[in-house]
Amino acid sequence: MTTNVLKIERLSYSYTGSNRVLDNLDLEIREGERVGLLGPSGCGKSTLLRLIAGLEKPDVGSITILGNLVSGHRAMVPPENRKIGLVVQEKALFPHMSVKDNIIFGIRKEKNKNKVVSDLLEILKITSLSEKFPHEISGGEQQRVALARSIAPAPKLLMLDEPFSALDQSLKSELYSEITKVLSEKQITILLVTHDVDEAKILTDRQLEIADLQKK
Amino acid sequence: MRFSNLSLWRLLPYLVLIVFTAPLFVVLASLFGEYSENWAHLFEYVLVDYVSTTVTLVIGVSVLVFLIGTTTAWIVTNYNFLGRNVFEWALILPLAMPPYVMAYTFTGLFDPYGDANNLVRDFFQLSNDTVVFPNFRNVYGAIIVFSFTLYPYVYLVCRSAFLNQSKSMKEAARILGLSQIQVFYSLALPIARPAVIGGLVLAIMETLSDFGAVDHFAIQTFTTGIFRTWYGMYDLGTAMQLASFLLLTIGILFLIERSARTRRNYTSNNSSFSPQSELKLRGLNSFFAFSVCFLPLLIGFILPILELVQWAYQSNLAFFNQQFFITAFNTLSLAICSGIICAYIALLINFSIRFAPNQAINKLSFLLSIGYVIPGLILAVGLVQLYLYLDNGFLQSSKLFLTGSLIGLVLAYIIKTYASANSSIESGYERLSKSLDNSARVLGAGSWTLLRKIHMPLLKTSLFTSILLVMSDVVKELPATLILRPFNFDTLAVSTYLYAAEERMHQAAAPAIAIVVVGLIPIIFLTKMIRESRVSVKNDN
Repeated sequence: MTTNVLKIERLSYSYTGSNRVLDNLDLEIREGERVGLLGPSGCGKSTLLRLIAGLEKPDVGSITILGNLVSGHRAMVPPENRKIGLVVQEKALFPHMSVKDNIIFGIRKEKNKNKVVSDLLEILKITSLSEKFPHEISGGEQQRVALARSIAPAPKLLMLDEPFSALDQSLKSELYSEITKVLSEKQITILLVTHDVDEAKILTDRQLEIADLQKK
Repeated sequence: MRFSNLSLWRLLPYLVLIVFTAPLFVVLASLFGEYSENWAHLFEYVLVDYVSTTVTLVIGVSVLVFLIGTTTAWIVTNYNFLGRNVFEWALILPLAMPPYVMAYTFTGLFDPYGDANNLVRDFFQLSNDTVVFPNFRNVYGAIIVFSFTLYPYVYLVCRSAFLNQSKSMKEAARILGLSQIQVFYSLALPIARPAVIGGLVLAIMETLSDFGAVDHFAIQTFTTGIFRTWYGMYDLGTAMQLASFLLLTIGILFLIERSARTRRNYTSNNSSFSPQSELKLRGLNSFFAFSVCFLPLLIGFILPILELVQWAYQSNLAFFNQQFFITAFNTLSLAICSGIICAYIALLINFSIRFAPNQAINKLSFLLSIGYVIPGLILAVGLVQLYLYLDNGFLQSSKLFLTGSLIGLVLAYIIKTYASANSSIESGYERLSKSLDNSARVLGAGSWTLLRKIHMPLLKTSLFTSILLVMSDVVKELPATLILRPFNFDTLAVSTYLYAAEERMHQAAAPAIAIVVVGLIPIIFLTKMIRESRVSVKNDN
């Protein structure tokens, strides 16, 4: 039987002084699954990822990762201990570090870090950029680095928050095929948030509307 | 549950807040203590003088600072004339001149046998008893000294407010029949009112805080009163009670300034904003604008500098003796030490507010900066009492560990200069995207790793600026140093004060020049900001 990588039960969240962004949401993702989460702007897609990452605390409900309760009434495991990956639209590369150092950041204490980095640089075709700084490379290259950085610690769940929305169509198509290949090779469980249905169909096996996950 | 790290960061700002405000509570607590018989003497003979002189001083300084600050800011933002580009930044140079240094140079210049009177007498071959310039050693002289060193507070905020006012709004007013001057006082100035009030309050607070200048002019104000009650009557309790009244007044002004700061935004940026156009002035008009801007610069910076250089020249550079180098070394080590500690405290506080945000500390964090507006003398009064309590009661040590120690002095500097350190770190953090924190944390970075590996390298310029700003404030600080320094430990400010008190002005020149030079550090940063602000306003539109 395949285990659940992620299990969310009756999750609700509201920003201070405003209406509920997420209300009574349930979601389960099994190991190796690639799920696309769809919905219009402002429906709470990114907020859901922040809640899973531990960057926000839910008002009600629970989040379990690999059978461990990480967010709940009395539990709140900090983001650094959740062993998940997150790639966001703005990439958030550390501007004072080279490409190589950015990728190493999450595995800096591991012995085989250099091997992991060189493999990832090769797979994502960015070996020539390893000593460059984020401001010296293009948007598409920055997105590859952000992806490599998130994959390096071998997360159990990789979350992608509209990672390609700032890129042009030709670059997107090129990245789609490369990323699909990398993710399949690494067998990483994926949760992709996007408003682009086509993108979700290309990159994921199962597409869900965020509104359908919330019980009225 | 793993909240221990988070709790530590949540707790830190409160701990620092307690340390920073403790001396103020010690001072205020004296109001509920016993009132000694010295109060009868104060009531009968001097209190009325303290109050009336302080009020006269504050009113005089407010009027002059308002006139100089608003007029010069209006001229440099709206007109193009001879030297405008230089005046735009040079007008803030008097900020580098502590009022007490200017007071010393002004008595040196304008006393009956001062350099200015001597020069005029020699030039016009007048008799020795002819006195051309009026006596400066009175409240009116003090008003001049404070106004011409503190007007940049109003100038800076007004310039920024005027620069952000829309051209089309002023053009509409002109079409409706207002002259250029009417636009200034009936439109631009009222719109900039919150900024003007903010700047004025800062100037008033600095005036109320001063000890060195009023002491040199032998004026009876609240600060000199506190000092005399303490050191003349040996009555610390009454001195603290006097200090409490001044502290409450300053507390009210502090709240007014904060409120003005929050309302300052309405002066700028609306959807139909269009940038300033400058009117080119020629001939007499250009000369007039030049004179209006040159006068404050001449009085507030050039004349005092010339006098200091003249003293230095007359002493044949004999002041570069061992004593000067020891004093300079003391000052520099204190300044560097305080600068580094204060900047790192500001970094930790800002980090904790960002890493473990909570509503209460967001609202209270402004209180951490209160030391900036508290007169050094009051801070010293509170700290002395606190140190004595800790040394005698809490630490129960036979030796005084905090009282009269360098640790005690550095703590006073940190409380006094935290606002300067914080301003630089806070603006550095505003430019740092939160998504960097999120990425680092998701990648396994805990709070210390985030601070050490991400924030500190990215904020190193802010950290460095912060250290320099604190150093500049520490070098200038006089009353707190005078009271809290260890026995026989002199700094540049104390040395200048002691020489000036004995009218040994030539010896006072070297430390005074050193203070002004260090005081120029923040001015360099402000100048850079001023130059960039006009460019950014143009680019934004």
